[in-house]
Amino acid sequence: MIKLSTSAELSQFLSSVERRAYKHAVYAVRDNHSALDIVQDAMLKLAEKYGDKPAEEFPMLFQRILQNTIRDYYRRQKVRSSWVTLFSSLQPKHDEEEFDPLDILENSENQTSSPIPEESLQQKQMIALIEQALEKLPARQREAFLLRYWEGLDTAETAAAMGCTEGSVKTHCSRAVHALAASLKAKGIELP
Amino acid sequence: MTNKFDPGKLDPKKVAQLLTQSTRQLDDATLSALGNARQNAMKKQLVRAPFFAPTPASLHTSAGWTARLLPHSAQPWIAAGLLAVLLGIGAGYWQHLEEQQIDELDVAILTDELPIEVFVD
Repeated sequence: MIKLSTSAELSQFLSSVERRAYKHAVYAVRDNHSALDIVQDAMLKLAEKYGDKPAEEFPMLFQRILQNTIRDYYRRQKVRSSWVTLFSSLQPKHDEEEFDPLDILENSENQTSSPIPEESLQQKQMIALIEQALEKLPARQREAFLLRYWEGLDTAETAAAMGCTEGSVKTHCSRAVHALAASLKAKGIELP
Repeated sequence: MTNKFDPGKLDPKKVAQLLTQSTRQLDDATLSALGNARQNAMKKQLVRAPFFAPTPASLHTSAGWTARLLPHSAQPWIAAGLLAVLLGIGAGYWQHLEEQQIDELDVAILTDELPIEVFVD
């Protein structure tokens, strides 16, 4: 007999996954505010459409929704950027007037995290470099790597979440590991 | 050109551990926004209540078993009403057909024009 999930189970699942989901989105779209919007959309879709599903199905459903929401974001950005390019080509440029160094300062302040005393500076730097390397990976490789090794989905589940074959998942993962290792080695990083 | 690089040295699990640590560095504003997003999602959770099962509220009322067996949203009420109307129409039509057949038989008896099937068993 299928056991349907309760509100407590859904809430527990969302709180367990929200930080990683946010990071997934940040690596994919490289914008903190958009990443928050994406995570919120994914949570809403899961709750609205699949909120009564058994709790065991949540991880895969959520990852699939999250990846689709990220793809939707890419599509919207593509359309928007094509319109912006069109309009900006018609308008005169005022780059000097629009530049304000305080904007950069504000943004960098927003992006820095609160310091954690026990965490070493070296480790923070290592994490930052790994995140940079992840952001540079092709989208599908990053997706496969994160789902497989961070979310702990098996090959079949990853394939289902990504909407591709298990063979493709293996290829993407292998390439991602190669690319990450090469990128980290180039920066002189060796994981302990 | 040969590639001397050994990717086997990179342990994905170690990368994953570091990524998990990075989630602990999120600032308060982000954590608060994520919490709000979760709360909003929880408000929209889809809950399909069983059709005729007792609700927790009905179990504590003094209305008894009838109240417990009643559906607790408008949709099942409408469906049940439509079903009742269809059943009523079906029963009425069936009764009308039967009465019509009896009338025809009565007329046949009176006019002494009974068909041969009436006498054949």
